[in-house]
Amino acid sequence: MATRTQFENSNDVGVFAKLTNAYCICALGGAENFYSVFEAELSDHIPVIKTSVAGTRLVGRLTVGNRNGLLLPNTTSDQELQHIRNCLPDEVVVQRIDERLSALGNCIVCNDYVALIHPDIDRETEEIVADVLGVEVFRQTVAGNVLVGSYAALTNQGGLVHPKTSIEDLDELSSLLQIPLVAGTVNRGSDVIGAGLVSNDWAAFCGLDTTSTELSVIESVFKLRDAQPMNIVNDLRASLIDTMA
Amino acid sequence: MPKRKAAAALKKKDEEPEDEPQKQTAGGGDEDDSEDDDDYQGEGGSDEGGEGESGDSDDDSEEGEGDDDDDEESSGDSEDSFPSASSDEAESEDDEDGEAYKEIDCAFEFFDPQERDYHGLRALLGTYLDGAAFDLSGLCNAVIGQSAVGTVVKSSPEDDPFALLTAFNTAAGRHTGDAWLGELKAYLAAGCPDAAARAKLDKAWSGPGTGLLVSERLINCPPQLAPPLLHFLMEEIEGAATDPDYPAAERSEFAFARYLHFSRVYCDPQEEEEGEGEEGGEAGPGPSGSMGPPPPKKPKTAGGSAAAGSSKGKAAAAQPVIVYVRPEDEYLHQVCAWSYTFPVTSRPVAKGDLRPLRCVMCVEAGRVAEARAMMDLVVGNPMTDPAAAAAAGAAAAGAKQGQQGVAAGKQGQAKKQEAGPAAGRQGAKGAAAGGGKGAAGGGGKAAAGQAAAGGKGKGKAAGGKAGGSGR
Repeated sequence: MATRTQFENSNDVGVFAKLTNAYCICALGGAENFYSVFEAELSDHIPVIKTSVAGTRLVGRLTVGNRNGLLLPNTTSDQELQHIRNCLPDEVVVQRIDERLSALGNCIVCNDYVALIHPDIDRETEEIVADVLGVEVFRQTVAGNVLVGSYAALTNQGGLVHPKTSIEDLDELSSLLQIPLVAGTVNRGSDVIGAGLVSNDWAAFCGLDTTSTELSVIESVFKLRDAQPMNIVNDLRASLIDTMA
Repeated sequence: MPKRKAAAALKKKDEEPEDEPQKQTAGGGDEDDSEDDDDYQGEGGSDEGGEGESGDSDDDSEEGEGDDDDDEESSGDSEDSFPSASSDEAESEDDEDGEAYKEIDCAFEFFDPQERDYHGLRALLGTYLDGAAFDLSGLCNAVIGQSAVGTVVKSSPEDDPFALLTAFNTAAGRHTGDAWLGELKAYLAAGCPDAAARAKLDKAWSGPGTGLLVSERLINCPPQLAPPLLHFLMEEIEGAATDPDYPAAERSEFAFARYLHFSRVYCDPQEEEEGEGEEGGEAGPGPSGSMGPPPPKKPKTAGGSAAAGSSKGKAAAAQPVIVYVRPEDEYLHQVCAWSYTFPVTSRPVAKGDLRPLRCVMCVEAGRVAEARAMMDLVVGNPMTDPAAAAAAGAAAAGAKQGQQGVAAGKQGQAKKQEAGPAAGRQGAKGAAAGGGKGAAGGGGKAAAGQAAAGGKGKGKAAGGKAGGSGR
């Protein structure tokens, strides 16, 4: 289910929020609208927390995480780190890492199984990513852009990438990541996908300016239509349990 | 390739042979078409940005990309390469290298707002109400949708806009019920210092024939942008209001009797200590309503320093002084019927810095020319250069034509190419310019609209063109 929202007149939802299958982090904002939209949609299933990171509201672009863990830049303050640790479930490993490219959300994009990272990320950071997030890591570019986190959005079901990604690149990435990929735009033609939307396996949020076409592409590639959290369980159940008579 | 290489010879050729700025001449007339969201691409403009064009090359090539065949005019029309070449007027900036005040030539091109500018306009207008939430998307849509009136300044067609100037009818136009218009009015009204100002605002807003000027500019835009911007705006408004090819309803929408100008000014905090601050000054009878007796010209000029662009000179006068960073504000303020200012509270201001204010003023339409004339004297108007002399105002078509041929597009016959339309439309329709109203043959709005719908930028003009040269 894809929802349109805005953070204080900005359509770049992915800058001010980070959404995974296990938690959601929102920025402290002037208006409560933003937070309440997320709360309304998600709080029945996952914790939705409000925090700043490094004293800024750019939580979506500075952090990267999935259901296994969350990585924070070295500029995160101790209070913020503690607050986030307290609010997130214990299964989620929260770690602050030292990386020159500190906008982790711009440099790394991941789902629960694979991650793409900026080609210039340290080897050490790459190992931490593989460890903490429990993913297989690939150094790749998206449409020739090194900021993979800015130009791609991934979930376990599918991914949306920069509109100028070539077919060859799409195929290559798709086979690396083992999920269907689509090249498209968000927020009325903006090509910064990662900043424009956030998504997990059952919900997505994008800016108010997103056209219906863009929204339907998002819903279809992330398989959000009729996607409710329980549906996933039901689908799995059907495939796992044979009914006899 | 650009069709018109007319002025090529005049311009010092840059590296790119094919990118010569095309003089408007041929196309001239087409502005009309171009006005409808055509992308006037001055190729020359783009490379001009880097290379210092020599003096005459103010006009960047009119051609838009790919509009070889049809759009000469459009390209020419919409762009007006800022005449940096001759006068090296590009900003002087002190380099980080320590080469102080090395001058860099920049070319600024003037375009109609188009869909491609949507995100750039959002960025530019995001703080239009100083942090107050409003329907920004609606405002940007309105700016883009209004093809007849409105100008953006960019350094090339692909760039984001630096500056915007457009006008909307407040009470009787097509945007009357829009959310953003209401929010804008509420913000202006909230800043009124007293009931009298409020009443004047309400009266002006609801009166027929009131145009709200939406003007936003990046900080430190050179002051020389203002005269051409205003020139184009007034030309377009006049064209829209008088062009018989437009339906009557639309013409009356742009028949403005007064303008509400909402702009950013500063006041010098040192004056605060004198007691009379700028903030919330009463709406006085005179132009400097918020300032008590109008300050002497000298300090104001020194402070405003239109010629010097955004100077924040400290006025030595004992009275609180408004510091204008946009040249047109100063002169419009002098001729306005009433005005008031209110402080901007959304951002912290360092002690000793100039305090940002918003200024609302109402200027009778008849007095705008006065203000513009004063401004042109101080700042200089490339549109009224000798070569472009004929272009200013509602020059006769013949004159335009002649000039057109002669000038070889030198002069920024940018968007509103009177010559072109005049040629195309045969009937010297006075201030024909109006944006692309109807190709010769009375396609008029339909053609324009169709051209617009065809797609921004190049090639669209074909519909509008009356064939022939550029039109």
